[in-house]
Amino acid sequence: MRERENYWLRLRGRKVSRRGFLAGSGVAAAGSAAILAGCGDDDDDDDSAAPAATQAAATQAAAQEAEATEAAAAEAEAEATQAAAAAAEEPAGGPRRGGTYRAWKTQEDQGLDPAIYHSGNGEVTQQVYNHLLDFQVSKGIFSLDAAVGYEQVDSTTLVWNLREGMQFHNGEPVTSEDVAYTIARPPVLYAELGSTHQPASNFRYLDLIEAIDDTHVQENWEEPRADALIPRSRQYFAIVNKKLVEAQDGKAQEHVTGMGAGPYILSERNAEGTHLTRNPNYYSHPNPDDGFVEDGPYIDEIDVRIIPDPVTAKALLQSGDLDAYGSLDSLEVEEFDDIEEVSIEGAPAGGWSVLGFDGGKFRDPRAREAIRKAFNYAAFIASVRAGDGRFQAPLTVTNTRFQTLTQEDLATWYVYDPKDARALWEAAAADADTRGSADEKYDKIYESVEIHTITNPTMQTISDFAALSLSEALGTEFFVTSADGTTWVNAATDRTDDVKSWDLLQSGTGIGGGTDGTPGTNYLSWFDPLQYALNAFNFHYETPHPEVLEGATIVGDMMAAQNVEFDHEARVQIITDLQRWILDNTWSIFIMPMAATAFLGVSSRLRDYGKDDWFNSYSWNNVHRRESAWLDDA
Amino acid sequence: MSDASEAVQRPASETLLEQEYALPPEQRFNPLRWARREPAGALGVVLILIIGIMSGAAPLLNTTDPKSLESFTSDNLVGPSSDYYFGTDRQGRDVWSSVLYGGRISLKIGVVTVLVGTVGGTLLALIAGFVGGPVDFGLSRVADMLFAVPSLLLAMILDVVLVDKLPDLPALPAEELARVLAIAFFFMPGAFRIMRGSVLEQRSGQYVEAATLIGAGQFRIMLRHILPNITGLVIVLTTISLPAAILTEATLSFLLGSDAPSWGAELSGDSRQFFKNAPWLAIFPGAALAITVFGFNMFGDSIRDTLDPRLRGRI
Repeated sequence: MRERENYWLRLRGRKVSRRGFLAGSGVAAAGSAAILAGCGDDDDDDDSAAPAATQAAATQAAAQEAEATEAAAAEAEAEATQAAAAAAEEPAGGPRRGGTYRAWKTQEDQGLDPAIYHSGNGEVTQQVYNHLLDFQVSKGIFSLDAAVGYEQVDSTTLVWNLREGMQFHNGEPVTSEDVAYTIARPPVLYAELGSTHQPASNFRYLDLIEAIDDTHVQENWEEPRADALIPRSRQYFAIVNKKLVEAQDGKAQEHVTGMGAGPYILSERNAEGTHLTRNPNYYSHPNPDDGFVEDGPYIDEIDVRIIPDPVTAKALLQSGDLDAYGSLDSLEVEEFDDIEEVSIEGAPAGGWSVLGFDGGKFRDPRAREAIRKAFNYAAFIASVRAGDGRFQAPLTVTNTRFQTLTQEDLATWYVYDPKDARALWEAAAADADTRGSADEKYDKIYESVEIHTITNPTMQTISDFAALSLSEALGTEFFVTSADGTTWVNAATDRTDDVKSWDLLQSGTGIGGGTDGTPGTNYLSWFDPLQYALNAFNFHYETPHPEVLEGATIVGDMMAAQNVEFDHEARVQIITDLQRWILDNTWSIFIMPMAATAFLGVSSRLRDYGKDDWFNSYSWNNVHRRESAWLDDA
Repeated sequence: MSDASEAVQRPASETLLEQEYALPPEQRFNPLRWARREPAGALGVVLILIIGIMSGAAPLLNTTDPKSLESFTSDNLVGPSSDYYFGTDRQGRDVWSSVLYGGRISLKIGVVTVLVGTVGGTLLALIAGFVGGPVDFGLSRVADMLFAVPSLLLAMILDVVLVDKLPDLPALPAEELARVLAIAFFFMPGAFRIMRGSVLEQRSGQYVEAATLIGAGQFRIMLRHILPNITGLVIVLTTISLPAAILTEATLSFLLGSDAPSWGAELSGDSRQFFKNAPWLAIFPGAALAITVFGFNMFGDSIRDTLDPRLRGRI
């Protein structure tokens, strides 16, 4: 009896249970791992310390020898490090041709036609096709690509002088007819897509585009357009082969070799990614600047893998299997300390992070102002931005050619005042109570508010913070829902009803991004009643709410006025007035603080890739546009 | 009539009968004796109690509610210290608080899931095993089909599909309810299959024949005769399934995320992102999960040994 009661005696004679076996194995494995880790060689440790100490007990000479060896090794290592650093700064022989640049993107492209904005296709639209110009935002200068000159004949006429000798990838010459067709195509495509497609309004001014001889193309506009040149360097006006595109009913979604004349040929495209190969017949740029080079591009291949998980991509960069990860925040950068294979570059962040209003629900300006005053800016910058944050403006603060509002100016609008916020919210809610059930679909925000975001850790954290801050200040429940990117876009742009399925739409991490140099699309498009304010936020001309229509008219008129103003100072003044009106009225979206600095992680073998403009529309899917880039180990 | 007078008036024969059939003192359940016989199980109970009590009393243990604005601080990625016992995350939120509050969700979902899955599986097994015929055949084939589908994938799909269709219950918001049902669905076929075998075994017992002969109805036989005889197995199944349920909840939270703090969700996102410089983000939620699962495993194993000595020592 005693023996049966005694666990230890019983244990001795007992077979091992399945769970016991598994638990024991687990503990043994974990213990072994810990012991191995603890006993493992540490790079910082003295490699020879333990054996030297042991041997010292036997012979002092051996210990001295070990020390001498260690000193010699350390000296050699220091010399090698210095040599490597020197090599990194001043590579012998300058740019080298060859090598494969390895990039990544999170998802497959949604289409390849450069004239239509699709996510995930940037490396194709920017590298397989060429453009009339290239615009370097950081310097505010244009470089000539397919054009060798241009002339603004009058306020509605622009003439392009084309480079001779250009060929598409199938060997066919690039003609002025192709260029005229390229410029005329976006308005046609967007007319088919419908006026609510966000970029549609950017092309409405185009009238007659004609090839006036073999090397000249004339653009005739219906009205002046101050922003016309910069978009000629962007994807919408990527030069296409008229014959091949017309053979596909004017669409370039299914890419055929020869559709483009850019520096790279699309050689592979599948579910794993895309592969680009250098165009052997690419034309020379006889008057190169630091973007174009006469005999570029230098890199032979570009390989873009689809990696849905950014953490995996970051790990691949750390292990030397990727060449770029943009963009990182200040905390993520610390993970790259001591990794020699990766260089970190910092630049002013141009990203945005916003809560877009559903216009019908937030038609009462007091409700919008309440949101602005209920957001705890200091806590957000301290925690979510890790202390490295700043205010964003309606026009991105990094677009310095057009931005006059300072951080001090912006701080006067972005004030956390929960008491005032609650009073405004309750006043708006009280008025909503008097409207009755007819307006119920709009007024339900005073009971609870849904913030919809993308399933992404950073964006969810931003939304969580906003929901907590707004809930606490306003006394109404704000809750967060999330979806994958495609579902989120569909929810954002669905216009089957005049209310959205969400109440506030969260967009952007506020870390990366930059400006393309145009005020009209950076980021005034959020407020434009012909752009995002139309297709996403219900602040447009067709609204059934008079107070929204009044605001849309004011914003629309000012947007139109800046579009046609060629005088820079006058245009800046209009844009500044427009920004002030938007901030006063918390119009269309509420803008949360952004990161102050964005960091780019690149492999240390990548050189001359144009880091100053990496965040300014110069990297698509982590692929740089600069043809001066080269690989040190090619 | 008072209890005292009733006791006085009870027939002596009844008292004698009770005494005759009463368990001798050494066979009555004694926690201390059980702990001595099953120290591993006792250790499991202690671990479960520690985790359970700490999670339940989280607001009293120097924590900040992770779902409050004040949890966001400027102490981003600070290591363990006297201010932050388990360090802080990217947004300066206290990991100690996240682990304790996360335990509430993990334990709650784990326990409710197993109860739903085991009770549901047992009831279906009773019906299938006792009624037999087409009902048994149909339910068994449905279970077979569910076994053929990758269970984790099925749970993920159910979780995503159900979350927008369920109401918020008082103690179980829609998101948690969806997760409970998804995981319970995951467990139910297994519980059904095990319990059905036991029901079939009991059904052929002489006591069932006797009950049938004296005219007991099928429903009565099921509930009053068979169910008590398989209760031991139900308890064993419940305790053994609990750690798996907690791990499955952690897996789903890891893969799908969670609005509320949960150990699985804590192990994804920032933990992976900052593992090199802030390993505490993964270590502490991982350790809490491991300790809890270990505790339930040990406890379940001991319960099985206690209630079904025939299984002792079998792998």
